[in-house]
Amino acid sequence: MIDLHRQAFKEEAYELLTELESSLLELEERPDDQDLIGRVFRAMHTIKGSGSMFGFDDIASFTHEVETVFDMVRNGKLSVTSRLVNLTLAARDQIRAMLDAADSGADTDLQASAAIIVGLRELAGFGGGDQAAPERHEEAAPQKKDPVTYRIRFVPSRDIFVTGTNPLNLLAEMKELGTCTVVAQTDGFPPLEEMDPEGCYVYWDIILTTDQGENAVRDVFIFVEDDCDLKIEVVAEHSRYDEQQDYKKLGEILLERGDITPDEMKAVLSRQKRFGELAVSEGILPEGKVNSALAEQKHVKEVRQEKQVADASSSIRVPAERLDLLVNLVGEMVTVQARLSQTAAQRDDAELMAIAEEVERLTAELRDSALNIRMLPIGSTFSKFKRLVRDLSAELGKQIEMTTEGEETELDKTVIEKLNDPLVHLIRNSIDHGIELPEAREAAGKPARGTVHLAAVHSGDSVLITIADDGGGLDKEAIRTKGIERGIISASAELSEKELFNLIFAPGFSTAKTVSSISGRGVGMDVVKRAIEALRGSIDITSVRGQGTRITVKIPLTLAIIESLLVKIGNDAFMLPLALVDECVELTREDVARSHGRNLAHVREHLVPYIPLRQHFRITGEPPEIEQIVITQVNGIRVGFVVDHVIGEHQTVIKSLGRAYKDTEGISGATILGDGSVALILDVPQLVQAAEVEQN
Amino acid sequence: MDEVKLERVKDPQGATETLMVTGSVTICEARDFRDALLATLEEVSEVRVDVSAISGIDLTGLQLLCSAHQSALRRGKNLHVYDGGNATFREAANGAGFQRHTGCPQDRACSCIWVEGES
Repeated sequence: MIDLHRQAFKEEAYELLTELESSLLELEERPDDQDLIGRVFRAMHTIKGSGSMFGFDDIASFTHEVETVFDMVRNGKLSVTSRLVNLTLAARDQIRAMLDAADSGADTDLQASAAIIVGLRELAGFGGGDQAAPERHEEAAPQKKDPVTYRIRFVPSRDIFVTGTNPLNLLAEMKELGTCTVVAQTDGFPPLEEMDPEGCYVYWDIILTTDQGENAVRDVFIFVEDDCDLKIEVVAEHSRYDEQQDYKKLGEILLERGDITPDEMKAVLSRQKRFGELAVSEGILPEGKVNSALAEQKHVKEVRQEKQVADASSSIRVPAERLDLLVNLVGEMVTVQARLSQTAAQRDDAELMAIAEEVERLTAELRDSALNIRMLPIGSTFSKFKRLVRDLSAELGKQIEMTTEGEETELDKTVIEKLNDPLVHLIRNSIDHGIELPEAREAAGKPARGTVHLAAVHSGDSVLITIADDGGGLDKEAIRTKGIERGIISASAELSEKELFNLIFAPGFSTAKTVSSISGRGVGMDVVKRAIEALRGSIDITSVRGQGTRITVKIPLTLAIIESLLVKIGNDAFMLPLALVDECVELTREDVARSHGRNLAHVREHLVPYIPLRQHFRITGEPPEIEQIVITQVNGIRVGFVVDHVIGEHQTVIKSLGRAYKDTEGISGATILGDGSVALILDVPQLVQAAEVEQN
Repeated sequence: MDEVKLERVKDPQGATETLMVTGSVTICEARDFRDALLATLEEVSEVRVDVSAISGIDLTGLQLLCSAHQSALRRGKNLHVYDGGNATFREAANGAGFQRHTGCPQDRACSCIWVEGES
């Protein structure tokens, strides 16, 4: 049970840390935004609070330090600097590391924690050098109390001066304990002629906020305690947990101190009018205006309360596995429904057909809403990249701003997760190779600050993700030279711009002259391309030398169900993702004979290469008299697949092939047809690539 | 320690008299300071206490100034303290908690010598 809570805490904490990161990055841009400061504070506060509740004491005490600093920021005692943001980001990473370590039981880097804390304390102005060592810190933490505000009334005896004590020194000592407000009371002064010039008539009210405890306060007065009237009261305990509302009203303070009796206060209060009444009685405002303003005030309050209630109940947290199970079940349902429709059509039973149609409609709706549950906005991924851009550009000495668009675009959860690495790689490339150093940019007449623009937009059943930079663009000549050097193209090859750009996706291709820690090891773009294709997506580059590069990644909305084209070769059924299919044409025996053994078909004056799948999969038996070529388009290249028959469109629920067939080439998955048989889903890009390799 | 010097200067126009205080006003000189304040207050109705050149003041001095002001008000007379921005004086008054926003109950004319911006 406890483990369950700990798990819940961790999940929440990870989310909070993500939010914290984006808030911090925003804060860097708008350091005065109180709302953001509040958000950072609350995130820290929640992590600390629930952390200590579930036994993550190290996290709680570490977070406490950061929270303290942000409390000061919130109260305007400290301003937001980039150093503060850096430290807090480092602290955020540290908390994350602590959370990770909590599971594995590994030790976290105490040194790193201590360094961050020292940095924060220095920033906050209460030095930290002496607490640098982590073991010291462990002891120091419990000693440090929450600050308490005391009200001290110090009435010295009349002859205090004669005993050689200077009350001013006591006051100065008090000021060293914390934030201190001293008010001298002069109401006991006799007229000048009656005054003993060597007597002490003044007394003090002191408001002191200190974390040193009451004894430290009493120690200040230790030598005069017998000679004076000393009253120390606690007025407020600032356990930093609860956000203090407005402080007590003036009347309450006076009443507490006994400076005014309740009756006196009532008498004064009865004379006091509210602002609205005053404004009316002074004739500044008509009563209606005031009433309307009051109504507005009340209204907003009510709405805010309602909203809080609504917010609390508008979402529920569900483990991802349960969702996966649901989607799987819906998948089965779709399969069974296809079978039902097929059977109903075969029986030619009108009543059964009607039912089948009804089921078909419901299944489609069920499918859509089940898939919708898995949809997440891509914004959370985008905000992660903001951090990446910030850190990398600092490391490389470049000035880069990242702009985003379409954060609300929704994609399947799994797709978003799998997109992360490829996108990181593409952004790194933009920062490392694309955007030039500030000097070079200025020399080229561009602003010193480069931009990486990340956008997501829906397009049909796909999402287009664009990474555009305003850097140097791709160097066609360099790519060409490298391609020849690496033996990817022949020296005489005439390549279109698109083909040239596609070379950078070839394995082992990198034009970077030096290898940096960021990119340039030549294990980049081919991996990116494969990852995108594994998501049944495609990638496209446009680039203008000197102006920048734009990479567009096209990704299907969901991985679970696709529209596909069902084809047959012999008795075996295959699927081609419909998104890739351009058209279908016939292939006769004569056509084959005419092409003299080369697999090329004439389609409207254009030559289209094709892959005879019967041969490729070594399927025995004779092909029919007239075969079909399914022409697909991958990365702008048209390639045909020769099959026996084209059956038609099909809603395909994708099933993985299982671990044993994980590495099967040319097949990306399987599906179950309405009659219960299995159809394999063709991995079109992979087949095209394999055919190209074979030809070379 | 600078010896305190108390010097009464009559304003050429007549009504005001300035008590020039120089040196360090401490408990040792407190009696003299009180007597000088009292004497001035007895004789004229507009008293200006000039502390702009003092090099030190302790709590007794501050008390006396405050009391003198209260006494002047009771007699229907005026007493101003002029510090000319003297840092020593201001630090002493601040440290002792004399600086405030409103005057004491006697101060009906809002002439409290400690209210910021007065002097």
